[in-house]
Amino acid sequence: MTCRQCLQLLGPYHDGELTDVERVVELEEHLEACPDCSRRFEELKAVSGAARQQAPYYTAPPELARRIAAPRRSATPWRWAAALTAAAAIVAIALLIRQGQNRLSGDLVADHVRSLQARHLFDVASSSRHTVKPWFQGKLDFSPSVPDLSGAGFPLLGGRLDNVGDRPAAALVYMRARHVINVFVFRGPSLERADRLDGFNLAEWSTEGLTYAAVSDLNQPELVQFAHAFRSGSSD
Amino acid sequence: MVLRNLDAAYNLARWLLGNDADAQDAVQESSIRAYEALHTFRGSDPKPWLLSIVRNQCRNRLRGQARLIPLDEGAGEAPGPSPQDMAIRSWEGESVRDAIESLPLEYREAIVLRELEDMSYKQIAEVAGIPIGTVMSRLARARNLLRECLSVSEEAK
Ligand SMILES: [Zn+2]
Repeated sequence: MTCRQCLQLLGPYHDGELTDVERVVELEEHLEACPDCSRRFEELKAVSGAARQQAPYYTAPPELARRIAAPRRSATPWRWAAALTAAAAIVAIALLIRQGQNRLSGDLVADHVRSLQARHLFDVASSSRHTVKPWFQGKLDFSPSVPDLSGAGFPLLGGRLDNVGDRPAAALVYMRARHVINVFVFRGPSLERADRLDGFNLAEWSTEGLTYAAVSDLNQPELVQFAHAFRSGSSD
Repeated sequence: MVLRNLDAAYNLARWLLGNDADAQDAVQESSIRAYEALHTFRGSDPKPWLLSIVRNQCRNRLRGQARLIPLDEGAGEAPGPSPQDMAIRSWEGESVRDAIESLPLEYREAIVLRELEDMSYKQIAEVAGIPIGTVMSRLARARNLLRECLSVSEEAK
């Protein structure tokens, strides 16, 4: 290997991007034999190390997250809508950690479909969270959040007891236009993702040891918007 | 957790635009664009996809400011060994920051994505919309410029 070739490959070698084993061996042999190239390699390591250790990493200021997630009410309607979609995008991007086609999603979609086919959507039919939330008391060993999302365009219809796999779950039913959204609440894995399976969209997240999984034939952006509204609404 | 990519987006915008206010505006605008384009996302890794949107937003902003940077893609080849013996360990944070800030946009972007975001050449190629070979030459050129910058600032002491 010539010095010229060696110098061209130093960067990829340093960055772990030189995958050709023979090339790596040749390069390492050359580095051992050639003081000039070897010194260039030391300099390269120093420059890269200096950038990594000394250059500031600018983390997003808290007000930026707030600006995206919770715009002021005084904002004009357009800005309000834009900021809402921005918030949804950030949530969506975080949620877009790709699924393995795992069993959980399969179970959730199956439960969703079953609830529609059996026409057994409700054990308690009410648009009031003050009726639906207390109804679960004594029936489960946890208490699901039941936010009022009618203001965000997702009216509550009611709730029922269900199972996800072998886990007891609360199912909350919301509506968007003609689309039913089932939110399954159960003690499950901590996760944060969006998924799509058999024509249904899922948005899943975890709060306080509970897994929340929204399943619907609603389109993904609107379901993510729903998930965001649900999470913001759960705090009060 | 939810906002994990927000830091990466802001860091890139802050380095490319050079100030907090513009960086915040660019990230907010980018998240709206990302939302509108969400249905076009097909990959498995949202980070390069999101950062490419941020990058384009930043460039659109800079375009208005008449900051055309001469491109020198062929310059990836390293110059000969520098004559001065570099006091490498004593480089300080401030001079490193100044040196990176002084780099032309393409090179600064390559350094930020590689050294601060620890992205692979493939991911950087996706963010910048360039071939992997170009990533390689830009990064080599960027590091050489950085090395020269830092050596000069060291000598001036
Ligand atoms: Zn050599």
